[in-house]
Amino acid sequence: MSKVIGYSDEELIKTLKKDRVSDLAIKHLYKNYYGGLSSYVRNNQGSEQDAEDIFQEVIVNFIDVVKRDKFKGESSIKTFLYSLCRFTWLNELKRRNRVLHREEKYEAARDLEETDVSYLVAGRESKNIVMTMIDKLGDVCRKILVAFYYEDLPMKDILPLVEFQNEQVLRNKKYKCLKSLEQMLDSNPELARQFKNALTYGS
Amino acid sequence: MDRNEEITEKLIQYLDGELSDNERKAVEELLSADEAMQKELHNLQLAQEAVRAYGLKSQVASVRKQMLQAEAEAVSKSKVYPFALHLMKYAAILMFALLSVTIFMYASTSSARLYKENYQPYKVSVARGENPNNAIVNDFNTANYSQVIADFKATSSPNNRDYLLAAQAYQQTHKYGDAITLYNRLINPGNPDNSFRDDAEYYLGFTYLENHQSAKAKSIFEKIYTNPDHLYHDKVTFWMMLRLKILAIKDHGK
Repeated sequence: MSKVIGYSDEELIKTLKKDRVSDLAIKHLYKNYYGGLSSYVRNNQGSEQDAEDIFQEVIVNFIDVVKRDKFKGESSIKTFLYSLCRFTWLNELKRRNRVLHREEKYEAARDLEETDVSYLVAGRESKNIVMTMIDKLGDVCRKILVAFYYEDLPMKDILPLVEFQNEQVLRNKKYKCLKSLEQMLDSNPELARQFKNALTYGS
Repeated sequence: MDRNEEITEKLIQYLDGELSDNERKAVEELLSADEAMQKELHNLQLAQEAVRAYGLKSQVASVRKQMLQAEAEAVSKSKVYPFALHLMKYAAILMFALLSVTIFMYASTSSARLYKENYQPYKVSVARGENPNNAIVNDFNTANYSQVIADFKATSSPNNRDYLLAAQAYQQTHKYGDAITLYNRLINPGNPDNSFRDDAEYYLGFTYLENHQSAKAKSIFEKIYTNPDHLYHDKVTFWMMLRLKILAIKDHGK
């Protein structure tokens, strides 16, 4: 296993703001916060798998929040992640219509000083639907689009990943993949609107 | 490629920053007057944002998968290593014990010790109808070994038992050469009377031991050990043979 370096809160924020998200920073988040946050989910009706899924969502959300300069550093990363985890899990429980009276009471009695990050998790459902749309594009489209738009790889480096004849064929495929996704969003304007809001966190 | 496809391609190139200044301005002019085009641009932009969000989610999932695999491997190793360590520990203890026993046996094995631990004096049995006043037998039973030798020498026609008792007397008086000669006469295959042959072989072995001829002692005891019909077979044990072998090594095969 590669060594996981330790970051201070400040160093971690600085690292996450870089164009390419570092694997070490992600490992640092798991190493330092997964234990406590997953316990919260497990102790509140969540399974081990729920804890894994919620923590993954929290991490993705946190990194996105940092990249969009929405993390102001008013609380520590630990406190912020804990709030994000709580709101995400409660939102998930509500979605499942399984929120019991106990949780509602707990929700009312929560620490008033806790950072209210409910707005950060408001659009999680629309995000999840759009992620499912991308899944539906198929393996080749996913590889091309993620390599080009997330990993910033040039076409010549993407070519061997999908074994296309030449760059022109690859460009045509990329065009079709993105157009397919655009059409999916176009056919569901309300989802597109909610997704847009979710990405900008309502601002 | 129809016009709509051409427009979509231009919009994607516009968003990807692949157009020249002139091309970019041309697209912006078209955009300002075309709401449908603006909507398509907006959706394409959103699609790209969605892909970036998907990429981040995939990266986090991939890192987590690697971590879980590494943890599983570490757990698997931690299960294998203690087992291997226990095995090595027990093997080391066993090796140490075997080595200790070997060293102890090597150090403690000697002709005198083997003799002392295994030798049992010969007891004469008087056959039914035999003269109970036989001088050699009487002197042997009273441990008067010098007299046994004198009686033997005075006997004109000694039998095999007389030879055996005389050999025993020589052995007891440390005249091993004479004892060996008499024992060998008894065990000689050319001797038609084979009575007392097994006794002679057994005690010849001890005489060799006393005379520090361990290789010869080992050879004769081995003959008894491998012959289940031998009268003294049960008296020659595995451990006695093992120590005889060690003694032969210590004495460099003498």
